[in-house]
Amino acid sequence: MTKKELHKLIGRYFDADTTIEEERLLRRMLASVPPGDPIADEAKAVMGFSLCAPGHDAKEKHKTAPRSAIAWINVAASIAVVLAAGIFTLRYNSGKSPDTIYACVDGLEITDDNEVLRMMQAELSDISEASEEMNGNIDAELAAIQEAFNEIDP
Amino acid sequence: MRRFTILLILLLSVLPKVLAQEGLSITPFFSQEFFEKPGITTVTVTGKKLKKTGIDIYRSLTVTGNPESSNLLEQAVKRDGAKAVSREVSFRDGKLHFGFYTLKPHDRMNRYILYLNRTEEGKRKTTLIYLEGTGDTNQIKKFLNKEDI
Repeated sequence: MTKKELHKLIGRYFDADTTIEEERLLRRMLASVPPGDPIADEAKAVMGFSLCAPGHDAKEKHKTAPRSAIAWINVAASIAVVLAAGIFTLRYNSGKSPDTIYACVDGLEITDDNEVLRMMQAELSDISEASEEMNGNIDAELAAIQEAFNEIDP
Repeated sequence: MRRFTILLILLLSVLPKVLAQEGLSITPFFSQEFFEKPGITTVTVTGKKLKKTGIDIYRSLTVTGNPESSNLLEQAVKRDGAKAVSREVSFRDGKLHFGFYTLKPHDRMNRYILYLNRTEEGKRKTTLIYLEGTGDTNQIKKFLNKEDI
């Protein structure tokens, strides 16, 4: 059926001049007409075809769309949870560390916080002393070299 | 999907901590297995007690009268020190005596290794300190000289 014939049939339908057979034919024809034709679209709307464009099965849509939507919502929610956890973890790790005070001497655990801190203090003190000693040695070596230079070129 | 999400969250929680010491030769020494060896002292301090020091993690290991373990520790420190961004070191009698190594930062955290080898009461005593935090070298040096922590 040509477009002109279709429009003519639609006109007859609106004028209530079509037979039952012609209405069935019109319904079949409209089901295969793509959207964009104002006259056909109007007839579809009147005949309850508005959601039934070719390749656009209403039943199928109602069956499949929610499923895929739920799947995407699941994926989006998972990504959101993972991102939130990641951000929290990164902040947690780059910011505060949990409170831990622990020492172990020859397999024996030290539970007194003050004792652990004293041990830490003693270790730092030893390192600090060694660092100062090393810097002192560097100063002494540089002073000796400077002295040697002065002897050569007073 | 739910299982995958939980697994991913767990991985994200653990990974940064694991990666923080990844590639360091000293890492195996901070293990229960090593702590149980004779002459080993370990100290771990994190959190509030280190507030305003620029340090988040303080971990130390002291080996006393156990030359074999001291040698292993020295080798590990030297290996990590070779990859350090900067270092202050001194040697005595062919052995590493003192070392202050600034390692490459990890996850925006500065990392330092401090090392000291000496003899006390006729026993070799080796101390290794691993520090991690936002503090720069100057803050770490201030921390070393701080008397009240």
